[in-house]
Amino acid sequence: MNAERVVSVLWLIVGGAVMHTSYGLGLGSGGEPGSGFLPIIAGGFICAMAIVIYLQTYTNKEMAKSRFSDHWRGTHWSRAIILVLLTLAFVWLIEILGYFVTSILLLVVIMKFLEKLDWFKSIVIPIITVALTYLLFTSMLDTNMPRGVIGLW
Amino acid sequence: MKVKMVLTALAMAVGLTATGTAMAQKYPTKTITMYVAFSAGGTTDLTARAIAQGMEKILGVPVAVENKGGGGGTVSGALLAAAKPDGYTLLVASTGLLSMRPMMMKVAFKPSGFTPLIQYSEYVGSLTVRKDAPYDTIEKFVEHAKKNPGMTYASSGVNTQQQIGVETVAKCKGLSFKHVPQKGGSNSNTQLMGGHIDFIAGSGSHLPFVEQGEFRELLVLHRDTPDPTKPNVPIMKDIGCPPSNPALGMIVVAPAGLPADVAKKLEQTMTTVVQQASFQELLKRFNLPYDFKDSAQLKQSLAKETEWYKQYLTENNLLLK
Amino acid sequence: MDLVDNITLGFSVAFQWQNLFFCFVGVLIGTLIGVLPGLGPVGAMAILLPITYGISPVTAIVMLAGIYYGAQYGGSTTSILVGIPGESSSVVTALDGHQMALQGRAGPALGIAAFSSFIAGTVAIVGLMIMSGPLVIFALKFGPAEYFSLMVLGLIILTYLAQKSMVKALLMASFGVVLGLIGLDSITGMPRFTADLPELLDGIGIAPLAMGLFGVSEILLNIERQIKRSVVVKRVKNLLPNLQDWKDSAAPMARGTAIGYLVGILPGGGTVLSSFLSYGVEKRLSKEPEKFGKGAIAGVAGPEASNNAAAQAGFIPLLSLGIPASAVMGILLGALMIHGIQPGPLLMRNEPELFWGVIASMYIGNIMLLVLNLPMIGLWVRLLMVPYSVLFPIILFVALTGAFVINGSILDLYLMLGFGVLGYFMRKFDYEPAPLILAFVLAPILEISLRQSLIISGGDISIFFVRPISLTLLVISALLLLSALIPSIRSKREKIVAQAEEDV
Repeated sequence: MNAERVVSVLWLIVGGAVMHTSYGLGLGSGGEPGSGFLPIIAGGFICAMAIVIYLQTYTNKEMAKSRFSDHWRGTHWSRAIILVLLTLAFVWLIEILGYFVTSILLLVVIMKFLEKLDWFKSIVIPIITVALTYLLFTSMLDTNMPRGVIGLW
Repeated sequence: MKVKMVLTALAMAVGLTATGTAMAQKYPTKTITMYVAFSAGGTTDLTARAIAQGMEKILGVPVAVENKGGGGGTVSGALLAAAKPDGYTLLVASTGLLSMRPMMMKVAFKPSGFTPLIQYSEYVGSLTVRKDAPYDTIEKFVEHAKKNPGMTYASSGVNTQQQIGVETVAKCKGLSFKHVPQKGGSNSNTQLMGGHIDFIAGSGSHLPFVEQGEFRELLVLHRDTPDPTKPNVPIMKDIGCPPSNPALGMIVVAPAGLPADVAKKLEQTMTTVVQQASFQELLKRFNLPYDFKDSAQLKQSLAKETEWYKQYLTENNLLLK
Repeated sequence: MDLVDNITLGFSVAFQWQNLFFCFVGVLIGTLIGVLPGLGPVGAMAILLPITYGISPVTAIVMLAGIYYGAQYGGSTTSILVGIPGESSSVVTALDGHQMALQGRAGPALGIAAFSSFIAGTVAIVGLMIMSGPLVIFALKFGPAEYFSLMVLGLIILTYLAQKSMVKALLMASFGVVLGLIGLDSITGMPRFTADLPELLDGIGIAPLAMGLFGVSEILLNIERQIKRSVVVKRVKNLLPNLQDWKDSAAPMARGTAIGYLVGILPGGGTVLSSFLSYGVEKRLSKEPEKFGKGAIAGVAGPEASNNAAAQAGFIPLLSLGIPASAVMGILLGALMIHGIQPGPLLMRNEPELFWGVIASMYIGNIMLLVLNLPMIGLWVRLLMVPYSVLFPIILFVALTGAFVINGSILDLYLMLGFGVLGYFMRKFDYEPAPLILAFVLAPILEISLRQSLIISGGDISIFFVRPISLTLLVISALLLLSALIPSIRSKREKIVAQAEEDV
C-alpha cells in the first residue's frame, strides 16, 4: 500500500467533511459572506491539495515508492503507543486522584516501566519534580490544581 | 502571599476535619471558588476580584477567583450549574447569561439552575461618535442618518446589550444601520478613532475617551432616567422613543438548591463588601454605576429581563429552534 | 517639555528603589513564565494583579510590563532546548533554534536569542520614545481592509516557510485556517465546528496546539528511536556565538526589529505574527534558504528580534492612546484604572511620570534580562546533558501542567495529546506544522476583516484596492507570490528539493 496515497485520501475525507459542514453553516453572498464562506474555501483547498498529492504518487518517483513500513522500520513504535496511552490515563485520572498523585504515578510508571530506570531514580525524581512544580503553581502563582475525588492534595 | 499560604493550610486542615460534617452552621470552612464569566483584566473581572478580597476578610477563608470567559460566559455557566450547591462555588456574570443566552444558543445549563444572590452594578451603553463628527446632537444625528441610510457602527459583538440598544433606536426612528461587529469592546474604540466607522455602541470602555475629549456621547441607552454622571445626555424618552432594552446587570450567583442560611450569609457578606467605600471608589474609577439589588429584587428583575428579551428574540427570529 | 527632559524624568523615576525592585521581580517572573510551556504572561499578570494594589501605579505597571516582555526572553529558552514553544511567539524559534541545539550549538542559539531580544527591545524602546505620535496615527489608519491585506501578506509569506513540498504546506495552511475558525463566529455569534463542546466555543488554544504539534510529537518521535538515548546532544561546542554567528545574525536582527516594531504597533498584530513574518522574510532573503529548518542562526536572530520589538511596540497604542492592542494590554489597562488613572490620549500629558517612568524602566528591564539570561546559558546547556530517559518524562509533565493551568480545562490536555499524535504522523509523512500554526493564527483576523470590510463597503470588493495602505500591502503580496513562481526562483527551489532528496 502506498503510504502517501492513503494519507492523501484521508486528507480528502477531512477536506470533504469540512466543505460539507461549511455548506450547512451558510455561505452567504458575495456581498455578505456567511459563516461557512472561508471554511468552505479552506476545505476546498484541502481537497485540491490532497488530489494533487494523490496524483503525485504516480508521477513523482520518490512518492511512488512510499510504503508505510518505511516510516516505522527499525523504530520501537510500541513505546510511542505506550506513552500515548499512559498520558491518556493521566488525563483521565487527574480529576479522580488529583493532580499531585496522578502526576507522580505517571512519572514513576514512565521511568520505571518504560525507561527501565532503577527504583531509586524512578521514585525520587518524580516526587521532587512534582512537588516543586506543584508548589510553584499553587503558592507562587495561585492556581488551582484538581484535588481529585478523595480531596487530597 | 505568606498569609495566604498560612490561611490555606489552616483552611485545609479545618476543611479535612470538617468534611465529614459539612454543616451550614460552620459555613464557610474552606476555600470558596469564584468563577468569573469574563477574561482577566476587564471591569467585571476586576470588580469580582475586589468582591472576593472583601469576602475573604469577612468570612476568613480564601476566595479563589478563576476566569472562565469562554463562549460569552456559557462555559462558566455550565461549570456552575454542575457544581454542588454547598456555597463553595460562585459565579460573577452578566444577567444576560441567564436571561438571554439560553434562548439564543444551546447551553449546558438552565436559567433555573442558579440561585441569584446580588447585583452590584450594571452595564452601560450609549450611542457615541467622534468629537469632530458633523452631528453633535442626537437630533442632528437622526437627521443625518435619515438622509444617509447605511451608516456603519461597531459594537463589542452581535446581540450584545449595546448593539440591541442601537437597533431599538433604529427601529424607533425608522433608520437602517450597518453593523460591523468587533471582537471585544476596545476594538470598537480603535475603529472609531481611526474613522473607519461612523459611530459606536459604546459599552463602557469608551468612557475614558469621552472624558478626554475624543468621543462624544449622543444618546444614553438602556436607562429610564437620565444618567446622573451625564445629565445633559438625552435618554430614549427624550427623543420620543420607547425604552431600549434593559441594561444587563453584574451579578453573583450560586448553583440552585443552595441552603437558605448559606445563601443568606453570602448575600449579607457581599452586600457589606459592595457598600464599602473602597468598592464604591473602584466602581467610580471604572466608570461603573452602582446599582444594587438583593436576591429578591434580582429574581424579579431577571424575570422581567427574560420576558423582554424573549419578545425581542421572537420578533427578530433569533430564538433557538 | 522636550525629549531630553522627559527621558531624564523617566530615568529618575525608574531608578527609585521600589521601581527597580519590582522591575526585577517582574522580569524574573516573566522569564520563568516564558520558560514554562503553556502558562503565558496573561495568566500570570492576572494572578499577580492584586499584589499591585498596595503599590504606586508606576511600580505596578513596571512590574506587570516586566512580566510581559520578560516572557518573550524565557519562551525562546524552552523552544531552543527541547523544541517545545514556551510562548506562542517562540514557535518559530523552535524551528531552527532546536535544530541548532541538537547539533550541539544550544549555547550560540540561546546567546543570539538573548542578544537579539535585547537589541531589538532596546531599539524599540527608543522608537517608543521618539516616534510614538506619528506611528500611532499610522496604526489608526488600519481599518478592516488593511488588516485583511496584511493577513494576505502573511499567508503569502507562509509559502516561503515550506521546506519541502509546497503542496503539502498549502494543505497544512488550509487545515490551519479551519482549525483557527473553530469557535464562535464573531459576526453571527453562532458556534462553528465546535461539536457542541462548550470548551471549544472560544476556539482551540494556541498553546495546546503548538505544544502538541511541536513538543509532544517530538517526544513521541524521539522515544521510538532508541531504547536508551544517552543524551539529546552529543557534545556541546561552545557557549557563546562566534564571529561568524554574529555576522550571520546582524542583518536579520535589524530587519526583525523593524518588522516587529511595525507589526507590534498594530492592534491585533502581535508577537506571533511578527515572528513568523520575520522568519519568512529571512528565509526569502537568505543566500542559503535550504539551511532554514536545519539550524540557520538567522532563523533564530530575526524572529527573536521581532517578537521582542513587537512586545515593546505593543505598549505604544496603550500608553499613547489608551487602546489595548492585545489581551496583555487589556490587563494593563485594567491595572491603570484600578489605580485611578484614566488611560487615553491625554495619559502622556497628565501622567508624565508614569509614561516616561515605565518606558525608562523597560530599558532597565531589558538590561536585567540580558544579565539574567546570559549566565543561565551554561546551566541550560548542562540541563541538556541529562539523559533523555529522565528528561522527557519531566518535559512531558511540565508541558501537561502548563497546558492545564491556562484555562483549567481538561479538554486542553486532550487537545495537546491529540495534536501530539497528529503531529507525530504529520512529521513522518513530511507535513510541516509551521504553516499550519501561522494559518491558524491568521485565519480569525483574516476572516473577520474580510467580512467587516464587505459590510462597510456594502459588498464592494474595490474597498481593498482603493485604499492606499491596503493596496500597497496587496501589491507587495502579489510581487512576493510572483517571484516565487519566476523560473530562476523555481529552479532554485528545485535545486533545494534535489539536495534534500540527496540528503535523505
